[in-house]
Amino acid sequence: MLVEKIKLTENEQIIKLIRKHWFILFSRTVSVIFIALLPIFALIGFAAVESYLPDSKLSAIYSYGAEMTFLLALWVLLNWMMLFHVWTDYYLDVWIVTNRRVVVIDQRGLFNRVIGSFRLERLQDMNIEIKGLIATALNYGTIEAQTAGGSEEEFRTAGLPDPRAIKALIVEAADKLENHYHVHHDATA
Amino acid sequence: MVSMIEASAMPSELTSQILHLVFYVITLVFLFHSVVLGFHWFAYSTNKRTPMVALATYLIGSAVCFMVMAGTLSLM
Repeated sequence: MLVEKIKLTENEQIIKLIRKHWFILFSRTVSVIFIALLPIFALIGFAAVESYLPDSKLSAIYSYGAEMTFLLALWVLLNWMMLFHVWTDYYLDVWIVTNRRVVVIDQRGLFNRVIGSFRLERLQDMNIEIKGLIATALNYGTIEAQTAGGSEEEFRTAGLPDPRAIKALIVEAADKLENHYHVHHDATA
Repeated sequence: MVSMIEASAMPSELTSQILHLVFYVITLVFLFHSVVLGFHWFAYSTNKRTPMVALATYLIGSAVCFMVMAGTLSLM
């Protein structure tokens, strides 16, 4: 399981686990389904052409019923595999916000997985971008987090739901951690 | 479209052999793809139930396609 793999430190708790907006998965799923249905549209098109041009010899296709069914089933299977590929890509892209850090997991295909994390005290700036009509209507967008340190790093993910709320959550967690350190520092001084 | 019409001149025995070969190749590709997907789901999922449901759905849907393909091959 993922949670065991990211190895939470002592007193570290997961505040929120964030996946991309459902519309990202929906739009990709619709694309795959549309491609899967292309042969059906083609057959309907052939039938329409055949009705207008009886001498077109297109009806020869229908005499290969078994072969056509095999190819259709093969096409559907390939698209079914692609559908789960798309879902895997969606499901494994996660932002994990804990009370100490943010872990950003970006699944880019099946054998390309990028995992980055930054501690909340290193968070320097957070930007959100909601671009386009659908993104504005459904409230999803891109979040960009810049961190300070030896090498300035940038964490960027597109298609996250309610980016303002995520930003507020992370900033609040960072403030809480800072206050905790201040209190701890004052007590020991 | 033209190539499909030209294919009507192809001997049915050869067509059947090609489709059998395609069936075996896609079976291997499917098995490899399933193992890779299953590994990703079970290794990186945030809970145990989702990958189980996903795997069951994936296998049931694929089984239907394979049954249709195997059925049509037996008719050739």
